[in-house]
Amino acid sequence: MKLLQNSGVPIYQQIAEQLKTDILAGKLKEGEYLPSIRGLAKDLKISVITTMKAYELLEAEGLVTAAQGKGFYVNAQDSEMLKEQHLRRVEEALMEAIRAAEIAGMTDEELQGTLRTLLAMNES
Amino acid sequence: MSRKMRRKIRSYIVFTSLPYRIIVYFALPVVVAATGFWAGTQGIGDGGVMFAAVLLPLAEIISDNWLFNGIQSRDMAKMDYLKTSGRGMAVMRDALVMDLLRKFLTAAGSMALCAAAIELWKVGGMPGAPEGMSMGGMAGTGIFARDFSGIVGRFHWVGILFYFVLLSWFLSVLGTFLSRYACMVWINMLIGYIASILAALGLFGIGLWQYIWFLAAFAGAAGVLAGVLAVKAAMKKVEGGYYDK
Amino acid sequence: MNETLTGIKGHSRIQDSVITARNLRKKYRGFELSVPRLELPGGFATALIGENGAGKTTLLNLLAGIRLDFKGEISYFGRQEKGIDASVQERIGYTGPGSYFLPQWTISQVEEISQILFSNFHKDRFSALCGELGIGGKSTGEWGGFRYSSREIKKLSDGNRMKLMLAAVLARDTSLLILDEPASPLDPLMRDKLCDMIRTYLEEGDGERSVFFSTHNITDMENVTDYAVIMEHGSIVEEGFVEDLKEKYLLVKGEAADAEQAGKILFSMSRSAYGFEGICLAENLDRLAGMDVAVEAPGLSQICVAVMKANTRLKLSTD
Repeated sequence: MKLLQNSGVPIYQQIAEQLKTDILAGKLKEGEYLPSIRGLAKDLKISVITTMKAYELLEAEGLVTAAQGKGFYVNAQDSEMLKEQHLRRVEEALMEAIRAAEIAGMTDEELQGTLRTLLAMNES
Repeated sequence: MSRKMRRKIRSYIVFTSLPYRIIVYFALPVVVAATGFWAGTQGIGDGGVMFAAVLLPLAEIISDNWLFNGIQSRDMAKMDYLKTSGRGMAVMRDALVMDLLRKFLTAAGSMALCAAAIELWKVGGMPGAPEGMSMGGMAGTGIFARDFSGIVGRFHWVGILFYFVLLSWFLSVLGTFLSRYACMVWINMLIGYIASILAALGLFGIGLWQYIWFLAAFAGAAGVLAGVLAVKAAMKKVEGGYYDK
Repeated sequence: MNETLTGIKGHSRIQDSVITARNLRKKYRGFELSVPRLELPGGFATALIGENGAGKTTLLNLLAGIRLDFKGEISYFGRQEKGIDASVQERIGYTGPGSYFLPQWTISQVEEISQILFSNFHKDRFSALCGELGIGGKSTGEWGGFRYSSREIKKLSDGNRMKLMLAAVLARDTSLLILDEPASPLDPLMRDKLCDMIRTYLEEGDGERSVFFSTHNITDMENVTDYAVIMEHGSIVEEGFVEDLKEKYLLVKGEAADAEQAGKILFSMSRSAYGFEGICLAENLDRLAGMDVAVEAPGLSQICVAVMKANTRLKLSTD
């Protein structure tokens, strides 16, 4: 797990984000336990509360469930919801691209053209 | 030995460092006794024990620098580590009391060793003892130091030994008590020398050899009193830390 | 102002508080500690933050049970009984800046004395810790081990004395560490190690162990602070879980033209020809509407400085 101290993105969000990626990618499987809160804090050299907040965030998103005294385990991922999640990520990334394009003064056509070129490059 | 006693002794031993244990528990009595014996063989016979009695307070007071140095001084004696344990104050008190007991045993042991060595040497026929040699008349008493046991009789000679032991112990206790108000080794040395001089003066007490048991008891009582003061002062200081005193 | 400064209390994360204190009062000449209420969350590392003279040491002394004359009640580990006793002391490891060991003790004596003072002291763990921290072990030559352990405490540097205290408390099975300024005498490398040790201690306890440490240099310890208690002039002026505090306060940056206006709601502000920067309560953000400002989550040290400045200002205005 890579954490950036000064990226502007809170550490707990970075952790949640990376765990989420692992869960959505199926690296962390249904029923599997996340590392213990204090164990992860120790390994990442961050405070317990930050890890706890990351886990709470994942719990709020329905990705994991807290088991009393045993930690957090990964929920069964609804395939509809999974797709939804992925879609949201795509949208976010595209939104960022749109904002950058605005700053660069690109027209919508130019932006679409760039996307098509990139898609073609990726396929080949 | 009861478990309680063993625990008290252990509390004291942990307060002493390894060098202190070797030097004070073992080397000190041997050196003091040997010095007294050597003096005894130089013609004063039983009087050699006097050397032991004079040397001991000096050695005890200086070596206390590595034991309870500064324990009654202004800022040294908070010892928060002891306070964080429920047993801390008991361990401290036991260590202080056992130190007094150990000092007594050291005084008694080294002087008994010295006296016994001189006795054995006399039985062996005092090889090399100069005839008629003496330290001279003890001022004002007329008693020759050369051989107390011959002059005052067994009963009083044992009393004199007791007196020496208790006098020496009393001055050791008093001296260490006073020196613990300071944290500098030269103060221990100064007090040590003064205590030795007082011990030497106190030895004149044997002039009252008829009352020597009374004197011994008096020295013993003074020693106990100084000991009580020493324990109280140190405990007051350490426990006072709980109450900003 | 004061009302908005009281902490986030009764948060769901506090299941059991490891120490509960009520109406603590302690007077010294020219100083008064007054803590109406303090609850340390169990299973976390709590930082006690404040300037020198804010009363951190006094508070820690009361909680560690090494100062006994004060008003108020303290209960430990959720027990019904108030106050400290031997069984509680057995579970607390305390290190402090004052006279701690007798200066003429040697390192091996510390080991022996600890064994009779605490039944949960592990000799082997102590030697291992001393080795790990570089204050013992047999690594330095033939006589190295012997020489070191027979070294007197008064000959140790402040940093090594701190390490020795840490080794002594960590060699025990405790459930709470109270550490008074553990980082100050340590070099940066050792501070990092200290943070690791605290995290390991918490991990091994799996929620059953807590740490309460004081610091006046929060940046070094920020990555090991779960809960923060900020003190000023003998009182607690703010407390809360760090992640909650980071949401409660905002770091605001703006243009120089708005500085005057923004200054009214910012706790602490620094301004220059190019703009201003300051901390405000998140709930007051709407009062900055209309200004061209950028907002981000502040670091713990920025929050602490802001809260301390605000309280100093309060103190000055009421005096």
